Amino acid sequence: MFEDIYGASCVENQVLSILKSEGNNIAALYHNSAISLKQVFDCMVTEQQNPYYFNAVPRIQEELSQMGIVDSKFKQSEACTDICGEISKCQDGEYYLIRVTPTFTKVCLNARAMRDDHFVRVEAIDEDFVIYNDIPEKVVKISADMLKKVFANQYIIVTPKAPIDDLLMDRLWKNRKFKAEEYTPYFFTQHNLEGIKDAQTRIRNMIQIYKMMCYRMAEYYGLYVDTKFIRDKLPQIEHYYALSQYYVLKGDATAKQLLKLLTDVNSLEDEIMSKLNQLL
Amino acid sequence: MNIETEVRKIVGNMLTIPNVQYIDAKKNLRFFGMDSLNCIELLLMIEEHFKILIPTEYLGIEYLHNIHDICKLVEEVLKNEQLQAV
Repeated sequence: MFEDIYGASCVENQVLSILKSEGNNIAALYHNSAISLKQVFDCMVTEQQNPYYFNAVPRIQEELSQMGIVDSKFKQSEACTDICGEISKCQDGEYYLIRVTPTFTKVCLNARAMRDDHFVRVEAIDEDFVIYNDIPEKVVKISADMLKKVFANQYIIVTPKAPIDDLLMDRLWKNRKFKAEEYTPYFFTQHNLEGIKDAQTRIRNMIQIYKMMCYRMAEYYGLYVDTKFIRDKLPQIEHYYALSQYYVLKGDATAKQLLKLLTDVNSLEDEIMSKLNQLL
Repeated sequence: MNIETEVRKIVGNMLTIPNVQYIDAKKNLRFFGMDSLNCIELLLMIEEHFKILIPTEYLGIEYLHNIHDICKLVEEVLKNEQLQAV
């Protein structure tokens, strides 16, 4: 259900999964994936953004709402809200995402709650409710009483309004914020890391975002050219991410090791983007 | 020392898996919430517990899919360390 879905948040994952389940090719929605490593570096290392609130790449659900492809209504429940009744009576084509408590998130869904607000999709089936979690992918059946207990008072009603068709794909291509064919090489040096506090954590966060963008690029540009060469590089970027986390946990990475990691990711970017430019 | 019993304890504690001794050793740990971040945390706990040093080329969730894989990795590292000691 969540295979090949590379959302930046649980809500983005759920919206992409809903669109995919309706037969849409969601790869087209990764049109803003070709952000450069330097731009990600500026956000995550220089500006020290939290990866879970990374905002240089627009959130897919927000873009889709603005374009009228998906309608998302965010709601705060009130004392009189009967969430179970509402979900039971939801119309065809309406999907409910509810915020669940941190305890339920951790204990029942085994999800690593990196943010306080975790949303899951809920469907009414007979007297019970089925919860669909994104990461880890999990389907849990619970009673109405349990649902009331785990509901954390916020919900989003998602309604797809239009399909992802050729017209929209053209529009997304033209509206790309980052264009692979405009890639300009940039090479990092020791100078980029001077004066950066907790550089290992910042670099780990940068690779976390850049890794997701590589997965998205393989999907998006794969609609136009053969992106096997990007897919082949994914285990390498996964390894760099693992190594960056190793450095964070060990806490003893030297400036030389961090620069080596940064320049390795930088070389990988250059290989990917140079090849992609040849093909486009 | 039974490696599998020890590995199960470490995995169970880290991922909060009740009755970890009964889960299938080949069940993917992603199901229990393991991801590319906490798998490194797990790897460091394994290193500390068994007093071993896992080579950095094994850093990554692809080497730690399940309890069976982790046990194999620990056994291999222990074997190599013993060989180097003689």
